[in-house]
Amino acid sequence: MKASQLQGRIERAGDLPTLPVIYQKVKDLVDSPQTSASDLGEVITQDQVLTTKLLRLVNSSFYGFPQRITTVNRAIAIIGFRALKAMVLATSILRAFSLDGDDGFQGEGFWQHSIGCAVGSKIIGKYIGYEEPDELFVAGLIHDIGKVVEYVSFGAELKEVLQVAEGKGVFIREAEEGILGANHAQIGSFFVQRWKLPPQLVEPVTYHHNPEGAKEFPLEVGVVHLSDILIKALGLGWAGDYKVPPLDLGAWKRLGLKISAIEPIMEEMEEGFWDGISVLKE
Amino acid sequence: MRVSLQEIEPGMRLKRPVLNQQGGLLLKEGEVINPQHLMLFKTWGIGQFEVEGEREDRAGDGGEEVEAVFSASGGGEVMEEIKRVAERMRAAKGRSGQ
Repeated sequence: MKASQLQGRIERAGDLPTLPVIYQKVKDLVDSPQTSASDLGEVITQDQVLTTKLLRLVNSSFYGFPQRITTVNRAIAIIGFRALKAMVLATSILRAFSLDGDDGFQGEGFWQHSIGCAVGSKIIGKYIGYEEPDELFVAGLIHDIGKVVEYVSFGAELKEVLQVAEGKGVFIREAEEGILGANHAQIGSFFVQRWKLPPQLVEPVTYHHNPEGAKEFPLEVGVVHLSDILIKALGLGWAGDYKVPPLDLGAWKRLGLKISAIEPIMEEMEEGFWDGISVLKE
Repeated sequence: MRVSLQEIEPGMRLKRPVLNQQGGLLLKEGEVINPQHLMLFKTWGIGQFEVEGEREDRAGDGGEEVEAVFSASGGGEVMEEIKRVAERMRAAKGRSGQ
């Protein structure tokens, strides 16, 4: 299938979800310099599910505040506008796709992998001193979104992809290229651009398997690339591959991490993984 | 076989029901464990479970399994370190591959 045909088919598949209106509202408020914490709080508290998730999130080990945070205004004051926008996006995406596939795709395992990669990206972000690790969390969460698009738009082909990948012992992306003519990174990239997500989120989706292609955001791409490898190495979640993909050394070097950081990062990932699941996926 | 909270994992089938400290039924026998159940067990502080199947000798099996999942990842000292940590952590948790 050619790229244009593929795009056409994705476009025609009317079932692909859109981002909830609340995300756009929050984004507009956060992007406006006049917005106060209480303006934001007002919009968020209109959405009960979002409010509950947000409060659980800020009270989880991700933030590790000693005192319980019970109001949205306090949560906003503590985590800040940018982190809040990232968290609203994360919960919006999870809500937009409530998957429980039963035909080999294992929706549950997929989101476990995605949440694991999200948690890992945020942890790696912390280790490299990244300014806003919550934005890396979102990048990790959506890195494999192309697989969800395949699930929705190309159900029959995805089944074949999974069979071929398992039968021949190749990576999912290689089977996708053979059967669909494009891999999940390319399909995901097209999709998140349609959602009008910013380039620092688009690039990790597009280049998480070939970080050398990154243009403006090689660091963000490198973080998600490494996190994807580490969560697969830990065997937490499952997104179709049985094997750990190779590490791009250029991406590794750009992160500026010491080898000795691998172990504590992986330890934190395992712990954060279970917290992430309990906070986000319910 | 009897497994601990650290060992129980999604996909295992309960051989005996799981009860809370008050003796109330949390999960029936025959149920297949999913990740939500694990959270439930953590919340209730349940430490031991009877699940179907026999315990394999896990000593070293972290090694073989990790060897297989890393077979396409190439070498290099960073990957070697990732592999070493993965092996150690999987063996410590007695966790099987996905």
